[in-house]
Amino acid sequence: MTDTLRMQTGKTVLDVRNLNLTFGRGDNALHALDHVSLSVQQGEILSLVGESGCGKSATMMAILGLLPKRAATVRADAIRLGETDLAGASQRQLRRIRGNRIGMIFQDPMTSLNPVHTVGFQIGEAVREHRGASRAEARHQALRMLDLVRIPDPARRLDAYPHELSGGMRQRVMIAMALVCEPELLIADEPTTALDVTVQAQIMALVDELRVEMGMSVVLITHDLGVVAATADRVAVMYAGRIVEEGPVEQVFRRPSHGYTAGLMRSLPLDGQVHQGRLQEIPGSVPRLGEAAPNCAFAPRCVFAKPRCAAEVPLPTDLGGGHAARCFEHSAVFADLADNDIVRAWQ
Amino acid sequence: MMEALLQIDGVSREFPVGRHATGQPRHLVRAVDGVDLSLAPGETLGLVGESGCGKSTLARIMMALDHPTRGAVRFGGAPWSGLTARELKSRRGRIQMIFQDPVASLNPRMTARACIAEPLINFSGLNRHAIALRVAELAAQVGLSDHHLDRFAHELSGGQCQRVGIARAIAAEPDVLIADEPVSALDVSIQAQILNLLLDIKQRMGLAMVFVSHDLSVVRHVADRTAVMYLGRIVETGPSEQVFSDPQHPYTQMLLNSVPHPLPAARHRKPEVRGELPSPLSPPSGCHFRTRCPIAIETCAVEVPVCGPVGAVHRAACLRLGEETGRDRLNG
Repeated sequence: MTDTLRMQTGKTVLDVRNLNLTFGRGDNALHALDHVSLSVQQGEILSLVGESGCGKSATMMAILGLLPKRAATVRADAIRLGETDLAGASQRQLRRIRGNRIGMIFQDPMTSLNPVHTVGFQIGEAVREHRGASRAEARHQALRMLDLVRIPDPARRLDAYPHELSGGMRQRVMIAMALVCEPELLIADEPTTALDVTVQAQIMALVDELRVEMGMSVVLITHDLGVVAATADRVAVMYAGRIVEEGPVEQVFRRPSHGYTAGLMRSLPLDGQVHQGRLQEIPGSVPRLGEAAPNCAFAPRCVFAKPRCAAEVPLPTDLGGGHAARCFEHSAVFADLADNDIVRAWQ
Repeated sequence: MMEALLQIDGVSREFPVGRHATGQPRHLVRAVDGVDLSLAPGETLGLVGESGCGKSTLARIMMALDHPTRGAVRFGGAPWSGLTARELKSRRGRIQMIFQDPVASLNPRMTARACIAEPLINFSGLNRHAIALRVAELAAQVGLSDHHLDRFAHELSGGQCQRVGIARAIAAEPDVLIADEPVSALDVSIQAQILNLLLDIKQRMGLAMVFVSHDLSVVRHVADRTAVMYLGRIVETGPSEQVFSDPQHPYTQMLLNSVPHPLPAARHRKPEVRGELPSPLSPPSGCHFRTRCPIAIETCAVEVPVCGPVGAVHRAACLRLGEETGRDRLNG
């Protein structure tokens, strides 16, 4: 089965084909990812959207080779960073890539920074490790990075410890650490979830600007459709270990074609909503790992589900322009959303 | 105007930070600074602001879980702060709380049934049989089935735990429900379920509710009236519709502008956020917001703005209120 969903243009920085991930073995094996295919072009922001446990972080951990070998089995037709094969790479090779050609930022900037080292040291560490830079060079690079991520008075901050900085500043330091080796790809896992809205707006604008300045590609993992609309070029919606809908942001918002994407859009309280009126809920709850329905995993919660959805795995339907959805009822889904405020705004 | 159920007058709460060798506190952080608020019966008041603005401290003061250093809280016409433990306990049932983390806020060693029964045992004076019936009734009201009731918190999903939390909070038939970020920890697809449930219950029981949240879209939808906090002070308050569609305080405008809406207008937009939140240990003099305010003038550093009227019930604490500042307030 091949699940390549999109048109390929420009230089592909990350190419993942049919990534499968299982935890455990034999009868007790839990399937965490099922035929996940992704590609990120140069200079593009791809957003992975989904709820906790849908596999968005697991996808990135599998790509980076960060999952424990004993517990997790990763199988994929291809995981490539540019010309480099990551699927077959040794841990030693992967260590040369992580933090160097791929930068990473995580949700909680406090626990991801080392409390006993200055931020200058931590930013410079990657250049010393990967580029063999001297202490003085590393310090100089760290200073340049702090300036790049718009930290005021960077020379003074160089010798600050993480606890002396605010949450927004710490996340800027994380970004500086991730970008110091000028990576081809930045993976940002919920980079603003722990931050306030005003700080979130500043950090997302910064990522967007740096992507242009450095010609970098970004995978942005989030659960917030607002963040997707504001920054991403393409979006992949995940549910229970599968990509259920994917396409350019404008197209997915203009023509949401999977019951889950539609459900998410309908449930948001928007300005046009009747004040204190009923929000449209998605019934049921997110399935736990290994408890998802076998065919269309969303069928038990889907208002559009037909018997076929429970009997067959929906393959991606090409909707044109690089937009595809794994949904038998995509026409009905979209027809029902025609007067949704979000959808109308994008048309 | 109807008499307020909960009345907060000039409430401040200071916390000592650090200690000198003499045992005296090194600094005082004023987490809540001269707040006046009232809650009418049946009303939903939204409390918004960023982390550290004092909204949770204020909620705790409303619950009498914490006491103001200055000012007074009255609940149902009687003093609510400075009561003895016994007096407090007898009245606690009238004001109940829903917490942010639904799993952590339930006792892991109690079944859902026991969690919901506990306030009935404490406040209702019903016998065991009547309590069992009432628990089943409450569970049905919040959309839990019988088989959920014998499970422990870790065996329930986040949404189901929050339903238990709500059932427990309404068990004693309170007049006021304080919801501190009740949906923030839930999955996006579950948030609408819980918000609908809260709105249902509020309507059915005629409850007043204080809804604390950093999610502005949610507060706009749920609250009748909204108060915006910045560094311990209320900078703007009014009917939600007015506060959100015609914000008067520059901070409210900045906050609303930062919310990413899933709309095309949001694409690659540069936020108009200036600077960083100052340390609450040494907030700026005069208006706390002046260091980040695009329309600040010299007087703002000297004078503390009072929360003055904008309309009949809409108030904002800004010295330049009503002045022509050359800024389109709506577009911030």
